[in-house]
Order: sequence, then C-alpha cells, then structure tokens
Amino acid sequence: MRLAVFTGCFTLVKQIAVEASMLKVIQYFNIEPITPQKTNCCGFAFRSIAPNTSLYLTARILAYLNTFESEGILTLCNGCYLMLKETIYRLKENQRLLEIIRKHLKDEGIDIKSIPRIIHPIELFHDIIGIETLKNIANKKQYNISIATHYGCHALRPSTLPSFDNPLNPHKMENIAEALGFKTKDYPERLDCCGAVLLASKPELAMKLAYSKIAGTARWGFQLLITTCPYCFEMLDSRQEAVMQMFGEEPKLPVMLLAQLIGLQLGLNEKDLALNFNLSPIDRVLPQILKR
Amino acid sequence: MGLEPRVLAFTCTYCAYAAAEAAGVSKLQYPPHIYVIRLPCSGMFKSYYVFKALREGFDSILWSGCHPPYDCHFINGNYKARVKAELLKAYLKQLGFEDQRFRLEWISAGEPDKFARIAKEIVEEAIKTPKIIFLEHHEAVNK
Amino acid sequence: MNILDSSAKTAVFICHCGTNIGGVIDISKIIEKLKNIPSIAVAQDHRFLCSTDGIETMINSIKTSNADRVVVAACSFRTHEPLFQEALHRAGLNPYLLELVNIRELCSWVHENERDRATEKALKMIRAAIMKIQDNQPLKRIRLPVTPAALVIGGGIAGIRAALDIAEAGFTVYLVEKEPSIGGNMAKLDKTFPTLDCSICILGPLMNIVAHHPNIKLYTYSEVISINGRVGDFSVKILKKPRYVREDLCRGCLICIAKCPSKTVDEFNMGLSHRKAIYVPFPQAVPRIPVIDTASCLYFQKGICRACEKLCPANAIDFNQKEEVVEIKVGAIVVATGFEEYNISQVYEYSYGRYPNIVTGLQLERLVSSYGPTEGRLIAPGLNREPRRIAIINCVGSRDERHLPYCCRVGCMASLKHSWYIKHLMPEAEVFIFADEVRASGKGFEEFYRRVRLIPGVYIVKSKASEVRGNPDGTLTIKAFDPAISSEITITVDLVVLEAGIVASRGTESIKNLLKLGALNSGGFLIELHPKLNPVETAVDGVYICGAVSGPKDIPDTVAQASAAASKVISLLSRGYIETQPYSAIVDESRCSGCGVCSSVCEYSAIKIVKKKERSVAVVDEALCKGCGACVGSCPSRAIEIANLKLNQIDAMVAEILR
Repeated sequence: MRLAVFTGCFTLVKQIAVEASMLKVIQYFNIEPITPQKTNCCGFAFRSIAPNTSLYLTARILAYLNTFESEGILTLCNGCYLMLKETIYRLKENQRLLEIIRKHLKDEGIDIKSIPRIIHPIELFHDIIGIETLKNIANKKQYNISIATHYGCHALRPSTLPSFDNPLNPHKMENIAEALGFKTKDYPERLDCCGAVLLASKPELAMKLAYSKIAGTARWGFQLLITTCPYCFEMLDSRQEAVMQMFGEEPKLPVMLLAQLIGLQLGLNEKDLALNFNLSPIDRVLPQILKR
Repeated sequence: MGLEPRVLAFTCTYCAYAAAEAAGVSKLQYPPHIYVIRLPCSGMFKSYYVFKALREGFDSILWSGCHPPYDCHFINGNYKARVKAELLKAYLKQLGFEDQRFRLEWISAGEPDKFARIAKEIVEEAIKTPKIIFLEHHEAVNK
Repeated sequence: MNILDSSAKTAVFICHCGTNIGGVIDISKIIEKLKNIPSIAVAQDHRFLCSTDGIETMINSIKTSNADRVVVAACSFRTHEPLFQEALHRAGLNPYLLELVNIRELCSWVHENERDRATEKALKMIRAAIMKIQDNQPLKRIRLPVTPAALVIGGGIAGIRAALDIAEAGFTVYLVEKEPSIGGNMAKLDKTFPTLDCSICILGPLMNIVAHHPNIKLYTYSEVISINGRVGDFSVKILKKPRYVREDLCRGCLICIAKCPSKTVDEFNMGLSHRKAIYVPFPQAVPRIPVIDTASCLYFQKGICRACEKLCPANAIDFNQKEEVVEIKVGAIVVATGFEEYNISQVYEYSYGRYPNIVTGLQLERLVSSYGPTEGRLIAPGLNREPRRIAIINCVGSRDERHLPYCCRVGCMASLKHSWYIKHLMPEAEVFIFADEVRASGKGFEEFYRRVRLIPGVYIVKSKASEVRGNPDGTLTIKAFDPAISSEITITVDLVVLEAGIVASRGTESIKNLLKLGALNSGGFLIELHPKLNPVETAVDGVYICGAVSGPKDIPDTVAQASAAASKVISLLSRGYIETQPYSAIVDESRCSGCGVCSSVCEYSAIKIVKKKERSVAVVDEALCKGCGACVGSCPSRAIEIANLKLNQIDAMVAEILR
C-alpha cells in the first residue's frame, strides 16, 4: 500500500518524534510512505479568521499530492487532518467553490483532479492495518498497565463532519490499546482539550487547560497516556514539567505517541522510535513495557 | 417554460394524500405544475393510468403510497403497487422512456416536507425533460 | 365526452374561505369562465361555504337551478365532506352526487406567490371534477350493527379511566395490560404535582374498582396479538401469558415470595433493587396474584427448588400452566399504552450509566417512595449515605436536535416536585436545579413553582448544565454558566437527578402495526385524526387513542383525554349501528370472466366467485368491502371498479386537465 504522508509544519519543525516513529512503524506493515517535496502549511492556524485562505492552502496540498499515485493521505497532525477533511467536504458540497479554487490553482499550474481519502493514524491502525494484525503482534501478552487515551479535539470534531469514530463516545484507540495487551478505561477528562490551540493568543489559559488535563487524568491511576497529535504531545509531554510547576507540582504522567507504543510492541528500538525526545517521565513505565 | 401541467401525482388517501394536505396546512410551497388525484390506496395501481397520462401529455407520473412494511391502511396495497410498478419501470425503459417519467415513492402522513420536496424535484426534472412527441401511424412508418 | 356535450346539470360552488383561498385565487375569473359552459346549472362563490349562510345559499341555489349534481371547490374533504353531503341531502339530492375539489391545501396554500398559475390550476382542477362527476351514480349507505363492547389496550391511568367510564355506561370492557399489574407509570410515582397528592392513594381506589367492576374483564400479563374487522365489529385475539399461579386458587398470602431463593433485577424499581423470581410488582398490585419469571426461576432454569409449590397453602402453583389465546369481539378499541423514559445513556455529556449516583426522575420517585428500594429514605446508590447536595438537570434528551426535538411537558414540574421531596426528607440538603427555563403553565403550577423556589436551600440556575463528571470519591461535578451572576459555576454534588425526555412506550409499535395507525418518527407517538379538533380519534374508524401515547402530557390532560375517548366509544356503542361510506367495488358482470384474480388479492375476503346461469362471476360483499381498489388494480378485464371512481372518470379528469 502506498500512502502520501503529510507531516504538517509543527512535526517538521519541532515534534520530529511524530514523523520518525510513524515512518518506522508503517514500513513494518508494508506501507510505502511517499513524502512529497513540494508542500505548504495547511492553514489551520488562521482557519477562523481567514477561512477561504486556509481552504486554498489546503486545496493546494491536495493538488500537489494529486501528482502521486497513492491510496490516500496519512496526516500526522490533528489540525492538518481537520483542514484536509473539512476542505474536501466543503468542495464536494459546493460546486461553485470548487470551480473558483480550481481556477486559482490552474493559474499556478496545478489542479485537483481527484479527491483522495484522508486517513488519521488511529484509523490507519484500527481500520486499515486492523485489530487482528495488532493482536497477533501482541501475541497474547497482557500488561498490568492502565492507559489513558487522548484523541485530541480535531480528530473527531466538529461532529457535523463525517468521522472515523463516534465523536461523543469514541472507542477505536481503546480497542488498539487493548489489542496490544494493555488495560484501558473511560475517564471524565478523556475528551478534554489539551489547550494547544490557545498557546499563541492566551498562553496562561492554555497551560491551565493542560494542567487540568494532566492532573485530572493522573488522579484516576493511569500509568500512561497516548496520543497521536504533535500539538497535544507538545502540551502534555514536552511542556508537562512547565505546566505542572506552574501549579506547584511535579510531572507525574508518562506520555507517549501511539506509534511509539506500537513500535515497542514490534520490537523496534528506542532510538528509532525517538523515545529520547519524550520529556514526560516515561521511565516509570518503559521497563515494564520492554520486559518481553 | 409555459404554464402547462407537467406532472400527475396519484396519491393514496391515508398516507400520501394526507401528506399533500399537511404540506398545504404547513404552507410548504412547490411549483403548480403538479396535479394530485386521490385514490383510496396505492394498490389500485394499473399501468393503464400511467400510459394514459403520458399519452394525454403529462411529462411525468408520480405514484405514491404508504411506507412498507406496516403503514398501508389496507394492509399491503403498497406491496401490490410496488410489484407492478417495478414491472412497469422495466417496460417503460425498454420502450425508450426516460427513467424520470415514472416515479414510485412512499410518503407517510407525517412527511409533508417529503411530499413538497418530491413535488419540487419532479417538476424541475419534468421541465428539463423534452416533451414526448406522439406520431401518427403513417408518420412513424415513414420516419 | 366533451364538457359541452353533457346533459347533466352541474352546480358549482367555490369558497373563498376568507382570504385563505380568495386571497390567492382569482375566484371571480373562474366563475366567469365557468358560466360559459352550458351544462353548468349555476356557478357561485361564497366567502365561507361551511357557514350556516353558506350552506343555506347552496341548498337554495341547487333547488332553484334544478342541478342534479354538485361540485364544491373549497378545503379538504376531511373537514367538511359530511357537512356538504348533508346539504345535498337537504336539497333533495343523493349525497354521493358531490365532488369536493381541494383548492386550498392543494392549491392556494402551496402556490401563494404564483397567483395567476394558482388560478389557472384551480380552474383546471374544478373542470376536471365537473367532468368526473358526470358519471357519478347515486349511492346508498349501509347500516351495520355494532357489538356493544369495547377493548382498552393499556392499564395505566388513561386505560383505567377510559375503561371505568365505558363500563359505567353499561357496556362490557376488556382491559388488557402487558405487565402483571395495572397502574402504569403513575403507580411508580410517589406524589403528583402540584397538589402533592400521594399517587398510589388516588390511583389505588380506581384500580380496585376496575378489579371488581361487573362490566370490566381484566386481562393482566396479557398482550393483544391480532385485530381483524371493522368499526363495530372487531375480532381480537388476546394472549394470556402463563403466571404459573392459578388465579382461581391464589389467596394472595405471598408466602411463596418470602421463601423464593432466586433473585433478579427489579424492573418496577427501575434497576435499583432486586426482586424474587416469583413476585408481585408492588404491594398495591391489581390483581394481587404473583407471577413466576421463568428467566430467573430455578425450576425453569435448572429443574430444582419448587419451594413455592411446596409451601403454598392453596396449592395454587402450577408449573404446567400454558399460555392461552382468548378471542373476543368488540365494537370499538381504545389505545392507551402510555410512555417510557428515553434512553439517556446516549446523552453522553450527562454520563448516565457511567457513575452510580446518577439517576433519572422516575428512579428518584422510586427512591423516595415508601414501597421503593430504600423504603423512602433518600440514599445515594453509590455513596450509601444520605446525599447532602443534589443537582437536578432538566431537559436531558429533550429539546435537543441530536435526540428528541420536543419538550417533554412534565419535566419542569417534576423537577420542582423532586426538589420538594428532597427538602422534605432532608431539610439541610442543598438542591440545585439546572434549567434554562421553568415551564409552569397548568392549573396551580406557577403557584407551586413559587412555593418551591422560596424554600431555603433550593437554587435554580437558569442554564442548561454543560457536563456531569465523576470524581474518584464518588461525588459528581457539574459546570454551568449562571447568567444571573454572569459567571461560570462549578458544583460538586453527591447525587444527580436527570429529568429524562419521554417517548411512546415500546409496546406501542406492535399495536400501531396491528391497527395500521400512523406514528411520529420522533418519539413514536401515535397520530390523532386532527391535532386540534379530533385529539382522541384516529384515521381508523372505531379506534381511539388517549393519554401519553399520543404525545407527552401530565395526569390531568391524560384523564381528560381518557374520558373523551370513552365518550366517543359510548356514543358509538349506544347508537348501536354504523353507516358505511358506500365506496365499494362494483362488478360489471358483462365483462367479468370469473377468473378469480380479484378474489385472490382481496385482503378482506370480500369477493367470491359465484356461478350465475352458465358463467362464473365475481360477487362483492359490500359489508366486508373496504373500497381499497386492490381488485381494480388486478382485474385484467376492467370488470370491477370502485363506485364513483371508475376508470373512465379518471380518464376524463386527466384529459380535462390537459385541455
């Protein structure tokens, strides 16, 4: 299977673990990643103040990726995922808008000829690679580790757009964790926002939201939190120390990327999975996972 | 475009006709080119009604009744209509009529919006479909 | 046949209906055009044809013009067909020489912005009706007898009230209830708003009268499985499920229940406690005869125990009891199957089912009830102590596009009643009601609202709660934006009560299918004949609906509707006969070959093939024929038609529209 991989700005610039771990893991499953050289920002950052501009930027991405033969676009960031999904939905619903966009694209010498499938990492592991395959990898191993799942807001919302799971009560990430042999449970803060989206305009509020999420999750006794989005990872992992110290506490919750967790099950080494980039206290849980 | 009637709708008393009246009560608007004939039940279906209406000059015919499986006031008139209507559709296709000339729809009494929507759609399509030209025998032979 | 050739004389009356028709359609223009047609005896308009003046004018015009048939262009046949038929009768004409053209619902109301086209369309519709009526024949109504008995389906307060009223009028009533006892949802309530009457205290006496009334035959733990026939003559089959207890022997001592070793979840207490496998749903149950639930009974599941049988002093236990089918005949049917709470675990933000201290309004009623799971002490199920702070959240699932779009009608008053319960049991408790508005429209409701909100410790936050979250210690946290202080509030409580939306009870669907009634998509409520003028009748003659099955409502409205339905039934049964609309199938024996196809498609077995002279022909039984036209659709020889709806009449209409 060939998939175009859209990393998005933040992964390229800072959260390189997201790309590194994902590329390593999907190749294990015989998925050939295509990383296009020409690309641009999806425009998520100004989606609410300049919607048509961000729409055009995303359409441009679709046009560039059209030049490759692939079975879909795998997005690594939730924000990019939402932009691509929403843009496709808007263009499909509104013929006039599609014509205007295509006219501008053609002025640049590119065009959207076909609409690809946009794939979220959770969708990739649950629906495409499949739960059975993941169960086979785990090979009946059972861990006494309780995992908190964090989907991130833009994976499933707004609920008016079609999504790969129930926006109000998703379960696919839990299915993946359980297939790999871990325990999961529902917790009240599960669908809470990490606060990343407010970093630029209201940084204190953003940190407060991240604190609520981390402290709230930790009090339920989880040993690990997993996520796929680089922004969520930034708030919950990279900035966990700063966030917790703002409220007079120490970092307490190990955070990993889903691809890192799966990679560990496949026997890939920590360096390849960029686990040295995780700033949350993963040493509290890593030895248990590595015990094979 | 003209003012001529385009669409003839046969409705069953308990469901589709009730929906048409309810659409009136709710003041839902649709184009006036559609005429409604009330029958007791959609099971009264005869291909004759459809052929006759097309021959007389209607562009499309709508046959409407109650939703399967349980809504038909007369138990299963809608099933009787469905079987015959499907046969008619196949026959009309063989004769070269466009698919939109005959439409079978289930509209319950609680769905006036559905009636108004279908009325709008079917008139709009009928306006786009070319009028059927009936030739006299000798014209057809000599063509 | 050309409209100009006709020898019949047709009177045409067009109603303005105020401006409903006259405001859109140019009626004077239509009258002008009609006057040019020679076979039109008179063409007249009137502002309100259905008024006394309108009818009198119509009758006079018919008489003076010697018209022998009438076309009325006005509103729906549902509203005034009987009125105009009566007018024809008074004018000396057969009532079936009438054609109603609906130029209101089917024309003026739906083409409001296209007056010219609407006028043209109305004219065509009227001309088509004139063409059709040329071939109308005079028809006679048939009188058919009415069985002087009624069936009431559903034994809640609506069914009980309807059954009592009909029985008091002297008619036999069969009351069928699927639960082991009558009483319905009202038996689950502790008190009723706004009077705070004890619910079972006012319901109990009525239940007892039902049990002993000489005219009421009560079938509990039973379901209606088939209904055939017509108004005045319904044949109904009732399935009596086996109780495994002999009703004629049981004395109601309930020793069997005390000794039963098997337990299961108690449905009457809505999952908050357990009951035995042999049980009576609540102490005041009518009849007070236990039922064995085979799913939890050790004898039925594993072949052991039989303690109840050994201990019963009356030898009333009968494990071999079989289900029984009872056939009855009635003249009218009342459907009163009531409501149930919507499944609010789907309203994810309120976490119902995720934490133990979240209950629905009906569950709270059971908790405070003296015959409930805690015998009236309010104990939070997950905390096992009395709650000190309680939140009540209104409109859970209601007024919500994702779930039920409509208002549940009773939730606001129920939340006030629930606050009163809590404060009455625990004066130091704090109660927070989260409701974006409080609807208190009934008699005494606003006064009750005032009374409750003045109780110290009751706080009404005028905002929908945003979310309910559980904490590790079992408490729950709720957030809302309180507009009174323009600030977000966060409250931690011990117990959350969710006032759930209501839907038609699950038994309604099968009754709806048996009777061919309509139901709304959202909520499953049954559809009445007319929401304003016929709230208890349905499109099916002889079938009436009352209570919450037709829409959410409180007890006073339910009882009013039940009595209304009963009065309709009494009127029908005491008249003793019905007159059918004679739109039945008519056989043209000269064309009929006796092939029998019509007979095979008739669902009502109204057609028989009979030998007449040397030929076989179809013969229609008019008493059984419903006039559906299935036979017409199936006849290959065009030998059978519906009276006054013949093929040539439809042809004439079609041709005239296109002229």
